[in-house]
Amino acid sequence: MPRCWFGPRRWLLCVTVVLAALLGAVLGAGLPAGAQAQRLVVYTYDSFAAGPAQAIKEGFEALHPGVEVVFLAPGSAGETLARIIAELDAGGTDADVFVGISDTQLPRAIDHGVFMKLDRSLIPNLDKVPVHLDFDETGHVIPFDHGYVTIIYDSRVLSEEELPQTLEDLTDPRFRSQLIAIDPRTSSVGHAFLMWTIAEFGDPGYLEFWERLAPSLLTVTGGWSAAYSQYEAGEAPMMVSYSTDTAAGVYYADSDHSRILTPKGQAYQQIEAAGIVAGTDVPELAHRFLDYLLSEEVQGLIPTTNWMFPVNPEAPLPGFFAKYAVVPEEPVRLDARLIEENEQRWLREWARLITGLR
Amino acid sequence: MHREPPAGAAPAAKEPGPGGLPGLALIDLHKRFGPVAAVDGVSLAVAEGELVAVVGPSGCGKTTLLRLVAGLEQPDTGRVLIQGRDVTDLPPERRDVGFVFQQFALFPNMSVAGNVEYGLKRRGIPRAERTRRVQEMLAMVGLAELAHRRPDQLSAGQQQRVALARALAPRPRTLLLDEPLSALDAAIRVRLREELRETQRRLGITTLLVTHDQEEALAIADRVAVMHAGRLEQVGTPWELYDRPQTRFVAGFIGRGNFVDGRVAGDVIDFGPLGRVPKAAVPGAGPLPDGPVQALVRPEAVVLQWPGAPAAGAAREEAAAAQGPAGSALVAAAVIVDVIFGGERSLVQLAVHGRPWIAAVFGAAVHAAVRHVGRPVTLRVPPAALRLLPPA
Amino acid sequence: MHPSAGRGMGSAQRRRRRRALLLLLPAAALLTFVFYLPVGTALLAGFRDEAGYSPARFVALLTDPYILGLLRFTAWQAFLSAALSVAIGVPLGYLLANRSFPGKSLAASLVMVPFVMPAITVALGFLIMYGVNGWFNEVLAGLFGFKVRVLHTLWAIVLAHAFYNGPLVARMTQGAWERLDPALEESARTLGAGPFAVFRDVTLPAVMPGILSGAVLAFIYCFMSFPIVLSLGGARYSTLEVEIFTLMRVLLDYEMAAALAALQACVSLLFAYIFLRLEGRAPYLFASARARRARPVGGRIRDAWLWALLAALTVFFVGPMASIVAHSLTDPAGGVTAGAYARLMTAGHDFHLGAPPVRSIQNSLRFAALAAAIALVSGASFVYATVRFVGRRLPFLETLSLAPIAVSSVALAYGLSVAFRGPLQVVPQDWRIPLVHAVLAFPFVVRAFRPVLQGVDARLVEAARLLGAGRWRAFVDVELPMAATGLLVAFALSFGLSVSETTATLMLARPDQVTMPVSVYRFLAARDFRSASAMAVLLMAVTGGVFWLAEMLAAWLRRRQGGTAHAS
Repeated sequence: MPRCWFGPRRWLLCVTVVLAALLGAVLGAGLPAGAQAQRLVVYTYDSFAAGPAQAIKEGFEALHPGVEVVFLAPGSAGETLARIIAELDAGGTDADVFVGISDTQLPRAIDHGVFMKLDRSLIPNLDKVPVHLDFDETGHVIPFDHGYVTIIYDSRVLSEEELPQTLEDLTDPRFRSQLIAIDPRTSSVGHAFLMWTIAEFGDPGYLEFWERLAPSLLTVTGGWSAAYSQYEAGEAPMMVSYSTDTAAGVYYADSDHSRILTPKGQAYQQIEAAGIVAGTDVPELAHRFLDYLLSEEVQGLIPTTNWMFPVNPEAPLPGFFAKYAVVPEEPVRLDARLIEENEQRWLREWARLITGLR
Repeated sequence: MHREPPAGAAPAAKEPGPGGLPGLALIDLHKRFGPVAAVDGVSLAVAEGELVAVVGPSGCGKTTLLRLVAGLEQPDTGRVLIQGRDVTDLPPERRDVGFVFQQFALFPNMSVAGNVEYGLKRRGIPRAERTRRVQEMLAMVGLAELAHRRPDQLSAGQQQRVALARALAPRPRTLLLDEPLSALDAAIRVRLREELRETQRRLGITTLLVTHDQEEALAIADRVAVMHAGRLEQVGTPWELYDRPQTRFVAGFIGRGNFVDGRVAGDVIDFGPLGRVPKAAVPGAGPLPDGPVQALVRPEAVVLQWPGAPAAGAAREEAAAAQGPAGSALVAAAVIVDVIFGGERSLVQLAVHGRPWIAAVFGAAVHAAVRHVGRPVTLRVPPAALRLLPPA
Repeated sequence: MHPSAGRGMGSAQRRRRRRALLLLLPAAALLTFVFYLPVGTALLAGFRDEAGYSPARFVALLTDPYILGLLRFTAWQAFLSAALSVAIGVPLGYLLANRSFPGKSLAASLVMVPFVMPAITVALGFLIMYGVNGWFNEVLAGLFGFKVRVLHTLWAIVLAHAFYNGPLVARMTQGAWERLDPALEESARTLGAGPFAVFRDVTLPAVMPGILSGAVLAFIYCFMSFPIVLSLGGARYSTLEVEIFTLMRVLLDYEMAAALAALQACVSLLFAYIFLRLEGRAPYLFASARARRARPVGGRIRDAWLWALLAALTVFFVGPMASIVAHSLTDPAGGVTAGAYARLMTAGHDFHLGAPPVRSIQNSLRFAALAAAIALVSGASFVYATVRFVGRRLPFLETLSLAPIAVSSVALAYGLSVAFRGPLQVVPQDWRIPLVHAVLAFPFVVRAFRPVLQGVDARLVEAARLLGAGRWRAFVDVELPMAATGLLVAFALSFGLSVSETTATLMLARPDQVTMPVSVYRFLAARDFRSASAMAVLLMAVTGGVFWLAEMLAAWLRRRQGGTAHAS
């Protein structure tokens, strides 16, 4: 009696084999856990993990044999902070160190008890950091890099004389649909730009500015990379971005067509900081890690891997970076406590204005 | 709630099964679907090797009854016994019944041979034996050469045969057939019905067949159960049902007939314009109290008499015997409306006092009837041919 | 009193009920522990204040014109998106079910690929395709001398949503169409109906459950959409989900976020319920006794519009995908290079633990295979219990089974991350992401498998049982082979869903658990746009390959089974 190969019984066999194989694959591939190693778990934001993290891990592990550094990046700095807080609320986090919290997020993090107080004597490199960058008066975090959010433009499209000289100039009808902005709710760059406009135009004034600005906005994207893709594809000649973009363009694409605007010599300053997560069981190691972050070795990596400025003035800057990356004459910053108190209202007012739903 | 089983439905095994038990016994089965009582107190015994046909109009509950026996539905109350063993709580696969579905339900993902082999495999029969049995079954239904075809490549008749072979291959104790022939065309239906009967007899397998076709039921069943609105109206041999229907429904459903209304009054039954007959001359009329009554007259019991000619009709001899004193038979003037030619037996449509009647005529009388279409004749029914029905 | 009441249930009935409960168990356990409890707890926070439970926040949201405006817009764009998905999906489903054309099996698997593309990659594909300097506008400018603005409008959002969901509608429609007995249409023709009347009176009503099934999923999906909306439309077109994200991830106002997520879930589930009621009204058709023969799209004039349709669909679906391939192969100066692919093979990126980024393929496949297996087992047994043991539509239960995709993914990820730190701590890390993906895939398995199983005539199971097969045996021998094609579609959908999921993955993953889409985002964060595209191409290729294998297997099964089994 001829039987089909795919007879009823073989079905069961096939299913069993496939399931067994899957189970094997899953159980077989666990984390290569180094039980003997002391582990330091560092939460950070995605581009830091994709940037300098690997070199930092290798360098720190070389200095401290038997230590394993593990980076985890659940998303942007804000999302990473949200995950740590959620984990702390649920009973505990794996994080020992959080690298990348921005100055504006710090009050919220402190309120949620994310960081322990630092013993600054264990971080000798901190002495090299200029006082104006060491912003945290509460002693919970150390700054490790800083950057400037401003407007970049495509010099192949806009000539020198056409350029806006002030933020207000952006509202000129000749810039109709010429600017790509980024949503302050979903992106730290967008957030910084909104804070800048509040610093510039004042509390109710910023809303009127955005209302005047609206026609000039081609779009407000959710994140920096979507905005940058559109800018690069020629959708609009200006976007909200970082003052290091020309340097990055030279580095990656050997092209300096993207140029930096610093209206009235200003740009909004972002200082990124690192701290030790409360409840860590390796506080001493964590302090040494923070100190290592400020070493010349690591600080020298920051420009070309994280596209920010190092906080350690002794760190050498690559020549092209020194040439193209712009530090504004007059960095703008909004007080973090002021942000903490008003952020919800500002974001909501901004969203109502942009969506036209009031 | 308990009901007496209807008359005639009592166990009536012709030959006792092993241990003297019937091959299949249904005891007071009830099955309700929401507000509808699909099976409403059915009891039935099928003798070992007997073929019982359950017949009834569509929606009478006969398929549900079959599914209760197979275990495809669970009765609300009542028991199912196969060879004396209570199988009510057994799942279908452990009841050892063969089932042929109306649309055959052949597995489309298996070949013909695979379908037939399936039940053998499930019973753990060794491969060599299976192969032999499949060949034997396919040979039996004449499809040996189609073993490797897939069901969708077969004609309806061939599919029916495969379904039968598949059901019989595991040699079940009971065979259940759900309208097994209704999906087939007329010619093949008659042939397959004879094949089916022959196979069932040869294997001696206890069989319950469900059909809406009374002709099919009468042709192949040892006994027939007439089902109506969830209940068995009457169970008996085809002849019993035909000759002695016990309800108006059975009388109307099995065969054809004329119904006449009458009234029992003392020693006579008065059929109005058709006349009066003595109560004693009518079978089964003895115990009837005074009051209205209905009688069935089968077409072949009607005697026709052409003007100036002797009585003609199927019951000529009986008619002659009934030529007794005046008033001992029903007599009426009738007009022949039409003759439906039917070969050895033809049906004559009559108008009697404005109501339609039918009578059966045979042989030379057919010719006479055709010549008298549109003309008056005399109609005569001997009282012995009257079958009284209980009042509705 | 009914007779049965006195005696109680027969043992067979008890067995039947026990079986049904047993079959519902995996789904109930999965959904309860990995979805309803954690997410319910998270959402309940929206109704809690110092005094206890109160609907105050909910009421505040419902009386806020801004929130109501967001709700209106979210529903409107989801409606438009679902409508366009249907407009694209139904003709595509028609072609897949009724016509043969060159490269059909490739097309059938390719068309499922958008389903797994990361939102940011779709945004890039649309930018290259429909941007002011995109291919579409270049062609327009070349032919007619003008360009149109597609991006930064509502239409860009709707187009991108249709790009994602059109294939889903097509799949569901195709399944229903293939089950339709051609004899029905033929008999309508003989009764004097013209082709249009046949379509309107016979075909459409029969195919409608499939279309509606796809439309429900598309609507809910678009209702929850967020990155696509912001990337292609911009903040002017914010949806509720953006607001939930802001509250939960930026402002850390979990209570308000929870209340809003609850409101959003209520609305999407309400729509799901209405759709399911509508779908339940459609007449059900058994698998056709006769296979539909796929007629080739031929060279006659009559077929010209079909060729045009094929061409338009090809441009619509292949365009954005090809854009990504092209992008991954260009260098910033405009030349052609495979450098991005070389970088994927190179170690040295921390987010892959020092391993080459291609390693993330392994992670993705492992998670997806396990997630699909879990979703398939729990989803199929759920469908089986409801179809075979319950036997009637249970719109409420089915709505509940759709809930995993009707809840904000941000809220879901938050609820789960809390749960896995708390009560679900016992779940091994390796199982967490697959379990969560299985929960998200569950509704798709149910939607894909249900109609196929219904198409398998229950009498075949009865026949098998009467021949001595137990219930399980009958399933394995009869239903499983016949419904296998439906299970394969369900598998492909779950697999794709798991491969593309990022929100929950990012929230739950360990450092070594980088998946392909996560890797895409990391490359973007590192400004390596080409490598991001190259990784996205690998993602498309790998999942497209899996879909293609499933497609081949399904076609092979269909050929083996012929007529009645031709059910998906």
